[in-house]
Amino acid sequence: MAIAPVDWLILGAGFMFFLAWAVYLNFKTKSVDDYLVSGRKIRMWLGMGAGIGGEIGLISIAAMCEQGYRNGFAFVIGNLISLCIMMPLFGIFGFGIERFRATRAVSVPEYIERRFSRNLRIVVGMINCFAGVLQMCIFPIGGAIFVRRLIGLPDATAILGANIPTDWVLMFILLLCPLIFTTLGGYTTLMVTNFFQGILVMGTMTWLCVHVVSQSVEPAGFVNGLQHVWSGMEKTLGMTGVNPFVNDPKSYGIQFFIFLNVMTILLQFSYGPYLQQYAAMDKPRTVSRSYLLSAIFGFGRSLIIFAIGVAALSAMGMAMPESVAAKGVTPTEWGSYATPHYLAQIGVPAVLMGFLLLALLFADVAVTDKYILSWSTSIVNDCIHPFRKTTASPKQHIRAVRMTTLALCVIFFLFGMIYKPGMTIWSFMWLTANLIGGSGIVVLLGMYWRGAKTVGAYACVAICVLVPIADVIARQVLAHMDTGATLPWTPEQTGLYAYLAGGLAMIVLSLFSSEESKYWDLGQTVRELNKLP
Amino acid sequence: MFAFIQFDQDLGLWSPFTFWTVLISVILTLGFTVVIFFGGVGDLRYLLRSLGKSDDDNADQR
Repeated sequence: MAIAPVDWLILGAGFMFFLAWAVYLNFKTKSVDDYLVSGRKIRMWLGMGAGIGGEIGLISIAAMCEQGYRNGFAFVIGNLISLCIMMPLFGIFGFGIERFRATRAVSVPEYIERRFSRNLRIVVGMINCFAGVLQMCIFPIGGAIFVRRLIGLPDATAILGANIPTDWVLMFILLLCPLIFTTLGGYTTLMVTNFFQGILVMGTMTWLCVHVVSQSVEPAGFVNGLQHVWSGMEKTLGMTGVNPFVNDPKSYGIQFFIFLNVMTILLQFSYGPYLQQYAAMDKPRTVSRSYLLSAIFGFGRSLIIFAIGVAALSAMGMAMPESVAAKGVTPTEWGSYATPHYLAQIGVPAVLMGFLLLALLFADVAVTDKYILSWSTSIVNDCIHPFRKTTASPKQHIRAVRMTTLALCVIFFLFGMIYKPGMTIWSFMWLTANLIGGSGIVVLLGMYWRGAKTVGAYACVAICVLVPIADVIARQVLAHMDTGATLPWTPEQTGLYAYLAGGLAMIVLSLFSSEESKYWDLGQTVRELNKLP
Repeated sequence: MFAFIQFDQDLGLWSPFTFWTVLISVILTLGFTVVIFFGGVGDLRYLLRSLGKSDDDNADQR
């Protein structure tokens, strides 16, 4: 796909705009709190705008397009039901998330040490960091593959006489940019640049969606295009394109949505990037109000991106073109390949292309920044500092976070060099998030139940980590035996029942434990903090 | 006015319901983007003024 000079100009000017903010904020950032949680001065609108930017990463765009292409708009109904549960729970009552902000902890393990024990903090910190880093490994390579296919770049690029895979070159750029922005100003830079990125990506993806829909018919037109895309989806997917619960192997199914909702609830109390964002807000009520508006807003935001994948489905159907199959693309890969392939076919006009490249680059920067800073902070705070004999100075603390960030970038690059897609991007992300969810039960019971004890917490974390891992290993063993046998339940069922068993184990063992509880009333603290101006 | 799009009758109400949910959500989201932008700029000014000042939010310190 051709990139016009004006597109490069937009990309360059946009990059300089974001860089100027980062340099300025780096100058303004003074303390460790400023660097890690923006001095806890983030108010609702800025937090929400930044939240949008921080949730629409390049990898999420690729994953949403993939889901739109594979399942149409079937996700809509399920997501609507989720909204009806999550919005009152977190957005109105602030269940758990307001209390977490009131703990003043920056991470889950930090709270766990105060509520349970130091050793449990280290165990949870290591498990969460491992799962979080593993999940992030797919970000740069997944993003690089999406951009290469969108622009239509060759598989290899000649640099200094050597043929280097283009994905590696793009991956290097996609890691270098977040590294620059994370180093400059930390979380404060992240919040501000993510805010502008959120607005940019919304505008650009809407423009792209209108363009794609309009171009789907001859002569081009939006309303006719809308009819064409919708009818195409109905014809190709039938009921599975609009009903997620229909009895069809291609459908999501009810078990999937129950698992998704339980995990979404638990991740609110265990997923580092979410909690670091909550910790940065000025008071507990800001956290719940911000959640409420973000939930409403996030729903429509995802649908705009889904629609681009649906347009690709409508135009090309489900079958992989022979020209693509000839390149060695597998049916698993085709789902993520389809949308950029379609965009490359219809073309993206000049100016929109410039904004699209800028939005995609900073979609990567926004999410990678947010996640990498969160996991680096967690690694330093929960996996390194507990073993230090002396307390680190603020300067040493920030330096340690920066060095960890750099080390993680190297790990992601090495992972990308050997990565081969074996499942959908969403499945990979949910699988790794599943390992983190168990600590959400521990935090939740710790915040609300005086009787929650350390021994119960250990049992819960162990069950929620070991059972899903055992499930994955069993599936791999069965797959390698080539007998065609599979486990009689789905991975989602394993995750769901592991959470249930973990929660039960924690309750039962806590009841039998004679340990003195370290519970304190966070509800009172929430009320006091919410009274502050 | 609302009949500018035709749905597959075999899919019953699932298809029109999904279509209108998508369309209304997207329109609300776009309107909300504008609100967030202006609200966020105000909050950004507050953040820039506050950075580097001491933190008086100690009510939750045990």
